[in-house]
Amino acid sequence: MVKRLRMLPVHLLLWVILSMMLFPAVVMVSTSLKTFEEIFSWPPTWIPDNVQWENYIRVWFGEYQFSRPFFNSVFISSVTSLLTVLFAFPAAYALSRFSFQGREYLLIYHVNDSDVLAGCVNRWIVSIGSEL
Amino acid sequence: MVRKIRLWFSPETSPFFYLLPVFLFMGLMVAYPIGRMFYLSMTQNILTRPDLGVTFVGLDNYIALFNSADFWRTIERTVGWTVISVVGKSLIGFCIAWLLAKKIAFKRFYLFLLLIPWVTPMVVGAVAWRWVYDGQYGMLNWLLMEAKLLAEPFAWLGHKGSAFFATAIVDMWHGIPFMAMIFLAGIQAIPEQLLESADIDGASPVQRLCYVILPLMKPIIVVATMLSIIWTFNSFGIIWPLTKGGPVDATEILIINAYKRSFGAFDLGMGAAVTMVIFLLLLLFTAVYYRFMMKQENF
Repeated sequence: MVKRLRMLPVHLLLWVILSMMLFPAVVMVSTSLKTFEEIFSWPPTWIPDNVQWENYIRVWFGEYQFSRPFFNSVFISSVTSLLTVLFAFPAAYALSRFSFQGREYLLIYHVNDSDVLAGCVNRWIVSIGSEL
Repeated sequence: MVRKIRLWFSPETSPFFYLLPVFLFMGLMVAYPIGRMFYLSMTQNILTRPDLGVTFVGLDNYIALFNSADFWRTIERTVGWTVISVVGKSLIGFCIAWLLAKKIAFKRFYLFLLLIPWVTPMVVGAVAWRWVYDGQYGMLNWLLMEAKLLAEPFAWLGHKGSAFFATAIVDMWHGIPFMAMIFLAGIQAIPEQLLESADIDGASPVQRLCYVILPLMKPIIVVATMLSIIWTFNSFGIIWPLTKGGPVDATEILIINAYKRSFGAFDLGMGAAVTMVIFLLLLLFTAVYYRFMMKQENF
């Protein structure tokens, strides 16, 4: 019991930090269940007065046509992970099994992790497409 | 000779064929675009002015950039924003890792909660935060007003100073789980005996942290902060949905600047020059930081 009480400050601190971290997520969930009018009410409510589960149904079947972008995302993320594993697996094997010159420099490609660069690649592919 | 060549290419003795696919792919998707960016950065290529055509101008774009006071301010702003965000992420992440490394109940539950900001897609998180920060109906205003810390609603993203910190906080929010997980793995990898012997020698918790835990975690801290700095420097996905670089230019970091030049003003030459500056800055930083931090390791 004493031991448990000793850990109480740790739990309290974790709860404080985590509740701050989850604040926007809770706002997001709560807003998703509100009617349009209730979103713009003041003071805001945490638990909506009448919970709108049909928001989710409307997003999927209604005028927003969410299903297409959703399946696009599923497609893109699965192909990306598949390709990443396909290319990274042998490379990781090489990095762990062999020692060769310049091994540590392979880390450096992270520098290129930029969205604008990706945008340019995109444009490049598009421009190849239009030249054909 | 033939034997030697065979040794070079044999899958048993050489990494050649394991690395070949990655190199081909990276060559196509990374090296080629960088080369093309470099070429673009030395041209005058404004898509909205086809009458000017594409002309090779050498280093003129870079000279124009470095002569512009605005550009230097953007660099300063980017560095400041990155430092604030990465320091915040690392400190808070370390605190969380430190707390979670203790033998406590509900550890898995806390870990699950911790990962929520991380699995939230960047743009989704940013949009949720924009709603939190909203000047009229934002939950943050409501919370602060309930706590009597704020008299009337405040548009957090509508003022220069507050927008700068507000976007940095969103970036921290998104990066904290990664840092916490990495640091947690680092702390847990420290052998129990070392901590015990520190205890027996009468080390205070602070001494234990400074002389045992932190030095042992140094390689992890170096790599984690380095990756985090690179990601934060290019934190387009957070800032663009929140403020698009505004108000005025308060949150316009280099990557936003490059995007606005390339796809807002369609000045591909100048946009490419900014991207090259980002690229070279990060390349230089990575090389120096890694070398410097890892060299001290040998003492």
